[in-house]
Amino acid sequence: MKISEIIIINLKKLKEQRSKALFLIVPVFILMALTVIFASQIKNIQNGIDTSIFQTLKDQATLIQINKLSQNSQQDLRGRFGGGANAGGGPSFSLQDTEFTQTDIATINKIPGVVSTSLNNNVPILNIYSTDLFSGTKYTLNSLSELDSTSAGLFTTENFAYKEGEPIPIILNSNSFIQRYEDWGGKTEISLDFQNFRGTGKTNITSENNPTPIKAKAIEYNKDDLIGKTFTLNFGGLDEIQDYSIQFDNGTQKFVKLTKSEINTKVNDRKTAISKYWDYNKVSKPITYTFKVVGIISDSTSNSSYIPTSFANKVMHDYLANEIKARTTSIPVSVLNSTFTGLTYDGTKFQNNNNFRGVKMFFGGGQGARFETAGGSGNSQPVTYNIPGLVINTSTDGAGTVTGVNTDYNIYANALKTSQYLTIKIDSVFNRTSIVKALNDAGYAYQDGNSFDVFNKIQSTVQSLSLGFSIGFIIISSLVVLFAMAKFVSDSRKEIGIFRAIGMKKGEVVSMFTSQSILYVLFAYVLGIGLGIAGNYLFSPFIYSWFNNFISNTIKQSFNVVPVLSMSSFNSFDWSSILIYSAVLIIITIIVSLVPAYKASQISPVEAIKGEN
Amino acid sequence: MKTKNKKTKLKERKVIEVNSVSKIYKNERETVAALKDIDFTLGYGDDLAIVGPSGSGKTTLLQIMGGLSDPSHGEVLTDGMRVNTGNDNNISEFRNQKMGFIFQNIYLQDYFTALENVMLPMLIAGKSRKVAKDRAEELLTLVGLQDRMNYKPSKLSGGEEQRVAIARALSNTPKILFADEPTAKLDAKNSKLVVDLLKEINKTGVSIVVITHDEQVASYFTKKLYLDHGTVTSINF
Repeated sequence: MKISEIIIINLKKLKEQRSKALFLIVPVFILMALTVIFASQIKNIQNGIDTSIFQTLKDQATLIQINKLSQNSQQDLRGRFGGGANAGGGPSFSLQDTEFTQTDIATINKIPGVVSTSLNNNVPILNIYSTDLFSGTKYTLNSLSELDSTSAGLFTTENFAYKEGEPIPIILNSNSFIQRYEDWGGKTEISLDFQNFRGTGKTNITSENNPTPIKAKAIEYNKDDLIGKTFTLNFGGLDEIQDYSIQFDNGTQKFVKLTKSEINTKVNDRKTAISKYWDYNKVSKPITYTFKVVGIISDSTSNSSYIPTSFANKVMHDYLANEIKARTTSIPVSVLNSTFTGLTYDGTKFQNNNNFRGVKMFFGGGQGARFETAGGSGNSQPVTYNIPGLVINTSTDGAGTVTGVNTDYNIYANALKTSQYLTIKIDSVFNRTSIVKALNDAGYAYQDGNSFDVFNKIQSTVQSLSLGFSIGFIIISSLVVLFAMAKFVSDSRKEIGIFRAIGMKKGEVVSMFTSQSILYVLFAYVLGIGLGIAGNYLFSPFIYSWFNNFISNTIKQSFNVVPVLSMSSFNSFDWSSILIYSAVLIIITIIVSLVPAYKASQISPVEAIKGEN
Repeated sequence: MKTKNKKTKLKERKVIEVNSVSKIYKNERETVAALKDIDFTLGYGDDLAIVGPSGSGKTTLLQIMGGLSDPSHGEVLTDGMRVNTGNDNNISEFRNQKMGFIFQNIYLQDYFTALENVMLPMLIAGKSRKVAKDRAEELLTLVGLQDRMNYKPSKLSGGEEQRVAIARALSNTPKILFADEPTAKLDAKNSKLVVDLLKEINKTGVSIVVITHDEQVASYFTKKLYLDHGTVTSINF
């Protein structure tokens, strides 16, 4: 008998005995639809995990950022006590205490497994601000550090390279989203007993217990809205003139609001002083660049935002060039660092001295400090003016004697730098524990998170889910085919008898039943794939929202950067798995149906002529 | 010379030779001899009725002659072929080509039309659909069902169904037709019709063996063999 005739018989049966065929078709149909959805969603979840978790892990787990501040026990109150454009005087940490240096890099690089160590230098520019990042609010960046693209993996998955003509990638620190304002409560003068205030031992000064008129509050923001946003940052220009004075009198600090004419006088005094050596318009005008937010950090130990190293070099070049070109005549050494202050440079490294950085404020030595930038009224400090880009050469003997001004635009890129942060790149996640231990042994305090176990568990859960489904698929499809075919055979005993009586061979009976089950399974399979495709689109939003919830509740708690998959990635199909399941289904169908088909072939044709009276 | 020999041999050969056939059914409690030492032959073109009451062993005998069941002892040669020993494929093919079966319960495939049921043995034989269809139409016309060819069995009367079964049995032009109580489920009119049809077929040279418990039916056939309790009680050849 031709195989085509056997198939025709089976098609006829499928058509004529539909309700019986459903025994096999319905379960296979449902199973296949579920398989399409399950296999695809498992794959999508796995992709999601790979992208959101392991991509994060892979990049982030090979990076360790250590913070100099956490190495010290002293409290840093930067940006918490009102802040402002300038601070100075007062005892502060020595450089050795506050910044990592090349020596630290050399030490850390000796630890086995450390690939590289890089300083996240602060860009020494005063007055970095944006007026269009948060509408209606001036946002001042107190600390902007450079970051190489490798270390950027800690905070973003996006490309962190500076390319001329394109918005510059920037990673913002949400700790810097602070708005400063003054609140005089209708008064023009506020006094506070500073000694008593210190006595409370409070170091975290909030607006409630901050009795000064200088306040700060957090800017409200939405992370999702900020990511990808382009905005303008202004670098340099002159400080805003402080519109109040502070007077000290025997442990009492008095804030006095200046009148308009007093402020105008100060502005004009500064203009006159600057115009002596500079083109005032050029010096007072900031340089602007367009940025794109590629990451948001919310790290409580830091308030630094990050720009690419190559851009840091560029902006410093532009910034220095602007100052140097604006100079109309040379400045006598006697004037530098007395009337005008700037960044000091001794031929090898910058001193991030407080006079220039102007943003640090420390308590210590019995005197709180907040000093005038543009004209010291009310205390004994000399009137000095910060000039953006002014680099004062000092002697290399450690005495710091001013010897002149620098006119090299590229001085920043070439200088030896120091930083509060350094990022360590390690060779493998598996060495992380030993490297962290070595760091601590070397005196660099670092506490590692314990999220690694969680990720391994998630991975193994998904894998066992997938394995469980595969095993379930094999068992269920085998049982379905076995039982359905056994039923078909037992229902067809007479029919088989008659076929045999009129000459059908045993082998042909086997072919007939095997091909019947293949035909029905294929029929159900095609329908099931169809339903599965539709079902996958139907289920993907649920899987997507579940997955996002899951990520928010787990990994986002531990890591700054979690790449999030788009909704559409959950619409994907795992065709390769579906293909494997399809092949498994067909193989199972053939093998499993051989058993009832063989039994069918053993049915004696005598069955057909039973019924003798 | 060879051809002549073969022809001579063919003439001597019988369409059925039953040699000392016994059939014993055994179970735990008892041993039942369904057939005891049966011997007879039937020539080409003969028509035979095997007559006996229920349990006489007549259906068992038919099964053995048709190669559907094996004897406990003895052997059967049908058209010179040992139908109870040897390769199942060969016997199946032989049954398909040389024998036709008609059953008491008819057994048409209910998902096939009358035409398709008749085509089936030819398709099993590997004939083309075209050849099978032409032959099936011819046979259905012969049995008077030219107007019912595309009917499913459920739309046919019992008599019509049995005539389809007869057409099916004839499809591969068999040497012998086995009919097991072909009229048991039919009314008198249809029984007559079927028996007449069988006689007509016999006239075309096809040997016929009919099993019946009905003397009336048996009376239409030339030769008769009476069975009771597995033993031949009377032969009327």
